[in-house]
Amino acid sequence: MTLAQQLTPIRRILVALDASRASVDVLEAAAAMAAQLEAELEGLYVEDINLLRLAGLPFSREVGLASARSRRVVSADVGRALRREAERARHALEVIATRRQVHYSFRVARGQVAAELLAAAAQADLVALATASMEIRRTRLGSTARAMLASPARALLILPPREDARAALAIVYDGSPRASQVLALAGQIAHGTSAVTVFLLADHPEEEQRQRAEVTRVLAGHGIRPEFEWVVEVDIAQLARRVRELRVGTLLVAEDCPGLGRAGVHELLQAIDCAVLLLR
Amino acid sequence: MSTIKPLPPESLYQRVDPATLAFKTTAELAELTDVIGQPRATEAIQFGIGIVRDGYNLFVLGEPGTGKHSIVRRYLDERASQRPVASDWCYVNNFDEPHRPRALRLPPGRGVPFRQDMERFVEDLRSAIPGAFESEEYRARRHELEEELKERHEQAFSELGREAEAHDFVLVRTPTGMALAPTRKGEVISPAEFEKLPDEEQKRIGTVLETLQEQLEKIVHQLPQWRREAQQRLRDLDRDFVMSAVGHLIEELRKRYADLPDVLTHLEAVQEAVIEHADDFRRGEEGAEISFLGIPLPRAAAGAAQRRYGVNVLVDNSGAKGAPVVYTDEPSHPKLIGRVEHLAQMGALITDFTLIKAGALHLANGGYLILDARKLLMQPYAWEGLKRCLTARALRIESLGQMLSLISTVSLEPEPIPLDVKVVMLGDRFLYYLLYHYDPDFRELFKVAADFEETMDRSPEAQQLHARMLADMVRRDDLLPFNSEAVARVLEHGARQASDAQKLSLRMQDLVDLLRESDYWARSNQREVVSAPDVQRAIDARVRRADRVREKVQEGIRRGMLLLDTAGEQVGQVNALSVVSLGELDFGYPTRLTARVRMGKGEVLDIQREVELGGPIHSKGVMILAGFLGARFAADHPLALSATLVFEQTYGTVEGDSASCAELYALLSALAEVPIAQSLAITGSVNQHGEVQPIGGVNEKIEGFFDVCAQRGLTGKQGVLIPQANVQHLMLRHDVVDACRQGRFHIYPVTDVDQGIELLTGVPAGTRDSEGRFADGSINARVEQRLLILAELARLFGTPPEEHSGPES
Repeated sequence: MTLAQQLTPIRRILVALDASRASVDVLEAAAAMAAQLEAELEGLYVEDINLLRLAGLPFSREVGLASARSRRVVSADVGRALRREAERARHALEVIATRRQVHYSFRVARGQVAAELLAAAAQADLVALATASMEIRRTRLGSTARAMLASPARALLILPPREDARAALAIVYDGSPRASQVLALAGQIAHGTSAVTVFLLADHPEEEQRQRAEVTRVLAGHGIRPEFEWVVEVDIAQLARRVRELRVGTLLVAEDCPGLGRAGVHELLQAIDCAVLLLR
Repeated sequence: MSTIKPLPPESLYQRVDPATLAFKTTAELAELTDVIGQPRATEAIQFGIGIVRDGYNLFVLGEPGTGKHSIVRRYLDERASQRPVASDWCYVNNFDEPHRPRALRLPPGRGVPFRQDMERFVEDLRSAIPGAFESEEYRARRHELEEELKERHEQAFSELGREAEAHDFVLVRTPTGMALAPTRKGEVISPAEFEKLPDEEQKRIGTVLETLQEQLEKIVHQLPQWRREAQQRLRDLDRDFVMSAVGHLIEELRKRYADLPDVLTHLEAVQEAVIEHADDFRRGEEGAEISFLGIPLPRAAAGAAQRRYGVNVLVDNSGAKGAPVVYTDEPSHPKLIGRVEHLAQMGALITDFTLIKAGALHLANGGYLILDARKLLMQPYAWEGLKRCLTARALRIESLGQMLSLISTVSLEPEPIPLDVKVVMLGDRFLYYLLYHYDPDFRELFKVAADFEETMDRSPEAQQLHARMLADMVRRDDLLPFNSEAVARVLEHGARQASDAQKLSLRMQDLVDLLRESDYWARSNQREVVSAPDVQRAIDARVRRADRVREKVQEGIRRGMLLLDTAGEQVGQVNALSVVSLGELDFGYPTRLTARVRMGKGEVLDIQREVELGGPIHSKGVMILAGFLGARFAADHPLALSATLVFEQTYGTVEGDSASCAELYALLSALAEVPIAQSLAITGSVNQHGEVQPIGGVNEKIEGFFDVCAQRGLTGKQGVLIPQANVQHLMLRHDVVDACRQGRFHIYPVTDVDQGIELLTGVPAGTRDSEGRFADGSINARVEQRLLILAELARLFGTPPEEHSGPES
């Protein structure tokens, strides 16, 4: 058993796949993580039962988002489209996992998307998914992501649609045991390859010094020399702005981080535009 | 006997008395400020340089080596130093039409700083623009705009979603769009459930769906418009931020170039272009390597920003003291007019305004351009290109390929630059007259001709000036000083070079060469001053280096391969003198010329011409002889003569009429049957009245015969008959003069053929008495009698036998 598994036993990473570009980005990120953690990838494509039902209704019509034209939804067409999407998702998984030399499996489920994902998430150590696409989402986190937040999934990797790839990693650390797990996970993921910034949530200098020493010690074991940002007074908006300024690629945070509080963490998730690895 | 006396030695060589030069060495002589011996040419040059009108360009014509270039350069430099320094010229990008780069005129010395300023500007942009885009303010505002669009979308879909929910509908995402579906307990109704619904409910669902569908379509219809609006606002945001980054940088430049409206206009265009292409700076040049089909492109393509906003300083007059004076020794079309170079990239040739290169006309714009006519005319299309620029008074860079329509690919068409240049072409007279006669543009564009003399009049004052000119050459070439004897010898040699004792040569190149070679010999002898023997040695060495052929000819005569008598007498045979020009050496030599006569139809046959080895002037000379004979001896009876004349043992073309005198003497001797002294040689041409006319190369011809006689031993009877008019040209070698002084060789000046024939035969020529008869026994009487006999014989031969009255005469 490796050190990583002792600290953060992530063995199965579930990736919610669809035909979008964001989904491929998620797959890439998840595969990279799986390679670092020696975990297995499980690709899940959910055929939306709502869509299939809609297609069976006599009056169903859709409006094309690109053409803005209304047309009949034909059951056979929908079935073909879903199969095609599933095949594309499988192919993408195969290519990326092979390249990363990661074990993978792929399956197609039919049902309510969130419900199917929730069911699958119960078997996974980490669930990776994209936030909703820009045009139709109602909040930064789509309905599926919100459903996953409400689920008991142990860890979530949520990726926004991005134009540029950012490698920088950031950690929210408050000295708690959960934060220590986040720190250990960060060490394994980054492992000397990228810049790491640690936000130390400490309300007095001695605590900050203690945390800094601890973080330095742990990350040094992975060949990482982190940069520190001391957060004396937690202000989610200010923290989010700093994350944006530092062009953080992925933020690692424990959902039950005492320094931020669960609500604070959820607020932070809404306010930042980078990927988030949420440890629960 | 002849009364013609040989010339005294003083007439044979006009020496320069060193005492008249009034200096010991050239080091004492002051610098010469004026050009000597070229008043006509210098006046023309001054006029041509001074007049500021279209077409008043100069053509400076004259023999090579007459100092045209240095004299022209001197006048131009002087004039240019009084004129203002010419403008700097730059090419910059034309952002509206990149294939037509803009030309910018800047005050002298401001082109390079402008280029440096623009380079710095681009460097500053590299940090300023990314800095602006990376600022928190920009991010926040961009984020706001993006969020605004998202919110707009979300709001529209949320409202629809809420209304849909109120009617038990849900928005469903399909693979390509959005749809509305009826729900029961939060889930989309299955087709089977729907079938089970009462008709009214189904109808209601249909009606509601129709309304919602309309709303959905309306929203989706608006999406592109919202996106466009958002993009426009993002562009405006970008523009504002770039503006804030660029604005103060441009403002600094504007202040610096406030006095130059053209530059300000360009800066406006730069600002617009920077805003338009801000992405070039955002990505940064140190980013990912640019590649095409996996092949990395060179950085030249990647450094687009520096090229786009750079300045190509074509003409930089910083540090200039006056108007430019440019001489180009390779006046090819591109080097004259300028060119657009290309870079090879991925097998394609690319170019832009930074690859525009200046031509000589650009560099000379606002000043003077000196060109060598021969070199210019030898370069394809260079002359045409030059004329086009001068006519248009504009410099339009066009490649030969474009000009001749050989290349049809799009290249650059740089904005033409106004041209204000005075062109000075240097060339031979031949080229000047050719161009003048055959090129109508030439006389329009080169209205001033400066004709350089090869010689100047010789006088004590002229010699003094000439000496100062030599002193200048000595100083310029850092030679040893020349003493007065050496300078005198150089001057004498100059007269000999001019082939005229009354003139001095102005062939500067020859003079400089002689000075340098004299300096060499003086230094070889460890002298500190160049003296007359050094000059003489230089002259002798030059002759020695070049006289291989002369020696061969002399050897041929010495060994009897070329038959020539220098003693005794012969009928119908004379020694004619020819001169040959071979490279830098002219030399003379004697040739046997013979004449034979018989009855005929009044023709004097030139054998040289018959075999096409005689030139037209030579033939003309021979024909004059028939005219002379006919007029003097056969005015009232037919000239029943057939004579043949030939230069014995000549195998090349004979040209010139300088042997016509000799031919006449040979003819008279043959007719009179009186022998001619072979110790004498003859040169000179003759006219139909029997007057002897001057010829060229008299010195060389005399020396050629002298050398043959000297080889065989001078007898005191040998000599040369020359035209009286050529006496003024005599600058003979010292050995010839010495022989004449000692009475061992003679030069006889002759004005008419009678004088000559008396000298040659020792028999009086004879003049007509009151009855029109020549004195008995005279040459003329004998010739006349012989011609009468020939005429009578011809008459007898022409009469039928029955009318024949018998030979009473």
